[in-house]
Amino acid sequence: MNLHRRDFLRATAATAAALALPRIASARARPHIVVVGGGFGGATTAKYLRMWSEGAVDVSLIERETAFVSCPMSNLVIGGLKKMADITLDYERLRSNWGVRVITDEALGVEPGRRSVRTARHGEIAGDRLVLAPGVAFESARIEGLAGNEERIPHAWKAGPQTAILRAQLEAMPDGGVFAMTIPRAPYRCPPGPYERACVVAHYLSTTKPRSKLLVLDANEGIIAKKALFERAFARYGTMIEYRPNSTLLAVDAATCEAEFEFERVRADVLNVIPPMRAGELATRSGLALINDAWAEVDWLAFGARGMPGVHVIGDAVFPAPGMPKSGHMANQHAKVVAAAILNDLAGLPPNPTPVVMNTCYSFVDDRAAMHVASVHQYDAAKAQLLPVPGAGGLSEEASVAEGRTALKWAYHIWADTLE
Amino acid sequence: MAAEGGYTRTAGAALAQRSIVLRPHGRSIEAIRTMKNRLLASAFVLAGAVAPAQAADPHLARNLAATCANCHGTGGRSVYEPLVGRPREKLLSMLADFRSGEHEATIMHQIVRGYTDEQLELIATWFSEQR
Repeated sequence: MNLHRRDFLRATAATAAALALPRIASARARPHIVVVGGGFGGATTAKYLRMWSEGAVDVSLIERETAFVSCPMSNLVIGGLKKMADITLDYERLRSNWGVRVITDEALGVEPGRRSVRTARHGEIAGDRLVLAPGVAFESARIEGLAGNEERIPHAWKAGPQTAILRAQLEAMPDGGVFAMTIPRAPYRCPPGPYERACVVAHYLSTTKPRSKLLVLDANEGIIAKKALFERAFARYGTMIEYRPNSTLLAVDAATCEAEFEFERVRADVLNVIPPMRAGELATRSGLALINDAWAEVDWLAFGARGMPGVHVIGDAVFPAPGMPKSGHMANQHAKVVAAAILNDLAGLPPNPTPVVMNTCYSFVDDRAAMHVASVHQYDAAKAQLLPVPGAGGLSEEASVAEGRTALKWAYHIWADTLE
Repeated sequence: MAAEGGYTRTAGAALAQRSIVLRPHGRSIEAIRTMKNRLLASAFVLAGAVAPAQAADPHLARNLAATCANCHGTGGRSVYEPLVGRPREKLLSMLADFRSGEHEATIMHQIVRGYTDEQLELIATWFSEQR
């Protein structure tokens, strides 16, 4: 623990004690912010609101799970390079270090008029501002035969039990078997993630089941992130990886483990279907304004939900600005913009007119080497959007062991910045 | 090859280029170094330089510095790549060297180009003042 944090804790010990009991907003002498969703976006928002206000605002974080399981690095678990415990964290330090009131519950919807969140077990929780970070929902119903069969045909695109299921299926697969994965059309969570998964699964197969085949069936017209780098990475696995673009999945058969596309039918030993995505269910249930009936519409200075004053939406659930990926890193950056905007607003100030966010994404290509893509996004007042800075950001020249080490340090840092 | 963390200083060949390497706003590294020396202590005045048409946000430096936390720790308090309490001049010269390519890096040379000189000065000043 550092000096700053000790000072902070001394100053806010009384606050933390007061937070132990729920109170309704109208009875509060101090502002109360309700954050829904304890992923990279929501957890970071909760922490930074407490940190930057020096404990002057109360923060409740509603999250249905008791553990935080990181999507970044979860492909390494599937590839047998890390254990579930390595990517599993908890919310204890948000409580003990920062005095965030963490409520384990399911958010059922938002009452925008009352600025409150309906929950399954804690009734209605009201705040002066709401921040929704609901992540993504999987549209399994759009693939015939998939809904209800996600344990037989896992997506493993929200880390947790699904990650363990896919790992177990891969381990049980015989040498000479077929691992088939499908990729939805963009936008989806973590653009390079499926291609990284293909690489680490191929690495596992090449070292343990070398006669196996890995089919990558992509609804997109080609690899959508780090294209040249992934093409080179795939080539390192010889004929093991077969990449097929323009492959839109239509239906699956859980009994036979078959996948049906427009022009072909694939039979696999392990079928990993990453379904199309939309903003998390809370966005739909709360009646947020959605673009393409899928992603929440926000303003880029304060991430305010369109048409819902006092309600903010961040992270993967947001309709992205041009060139903005749906990533944990980006959600963590959204969180800091929204936390600053809310604290300004409570102080009677406009949001920062010049917000900046940036993104870094590492992808492993085997058990040691990784490569990155990075971008910096500045607010363009004329276009009222956060836009990538031309000439900034970029890609690795090639995957390297040095960047593999940096990737692990990145995870360590972002987990701490989000949860500790 | 870049070393772990990307802070390897390359041989002096690039030093010779220092005076001709231009930054996005057309100022040479030497010009930037001169400017650093007359940096104003007031964050408010510096902030005004970023967006002269608008009132600067009172927390601009803090907000900008927070974009670094994902890799350098909250408040720059990383165990591996700490920024907290480092002298402003040192941070600025490192950033300038990343931008010019004099410091070979895996990623910082790409990230630093996304920020304006004024933003980098605010960030460096903020970290240098943290304890």
